[in-house]
Amino acid sequence: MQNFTGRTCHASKAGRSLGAKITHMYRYRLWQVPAILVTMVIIGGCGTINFFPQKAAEKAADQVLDEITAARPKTAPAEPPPAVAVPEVAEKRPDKSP
Amino acid sequence: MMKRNILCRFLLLAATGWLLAGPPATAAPVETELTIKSASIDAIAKSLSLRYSMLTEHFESGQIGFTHDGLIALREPGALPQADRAALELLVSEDNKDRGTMYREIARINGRPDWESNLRGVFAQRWISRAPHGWYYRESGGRWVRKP
Repeated sequence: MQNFTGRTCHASKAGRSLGAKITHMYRYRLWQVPAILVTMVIIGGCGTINFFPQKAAEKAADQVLDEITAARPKTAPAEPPPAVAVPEVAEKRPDKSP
Repeated sequence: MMKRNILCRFLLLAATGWLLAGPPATAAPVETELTIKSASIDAIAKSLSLRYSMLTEHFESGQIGFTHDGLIALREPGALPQADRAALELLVSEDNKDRGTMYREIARINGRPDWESNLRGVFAQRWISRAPHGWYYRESGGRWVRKP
């Protein structure tokens, strides 16, 4: 029996000892573990590297800019104008007395 | 035959890795809203807002304009009298300091300090697009453009 590498593989046959099977796994199958890990890292990295939420950033920028540009304190007086003292004028009531 | 066998095994492994890692669409963070609320950002926004009212007349007269990196700059410093230029330079410098701090702070509170340059670009684009007609902005090449 030949495996995919072209080498003769006797250990995969049934009836072999556990030690022979482990040896076989290390010799012919262990390369799959780093292969899977490398694939995971590459594929995972492709999706996360350089990801920037453009739309969310634009929305946030608009909110901040609204806040900055909305207030125009130049048009509003800093302090309320001082109250002008109005002299009290005695209210003249028409004399209803006869 | 043997080559096809190797190819099939590789594809199987790649598919396994794909499923374990998740496809890029799900591996990437979901596009949610950016956090812009914090005490420091509020304070900076307030400071920028107060200064913006002072800078508006200079934007309108074309003495200053927006830059491509989210800051502001004097357009023709030599055209201003010495005293006016010094005062305006100070105003612009303080404003740029606040702007830089704000971009850095937004990136930081969202857990991605590496987004600062992206945020600068987005803010610059929004400042320019919202600017009224006649205001100036400086392109990345250094050329000043009057907004039509």
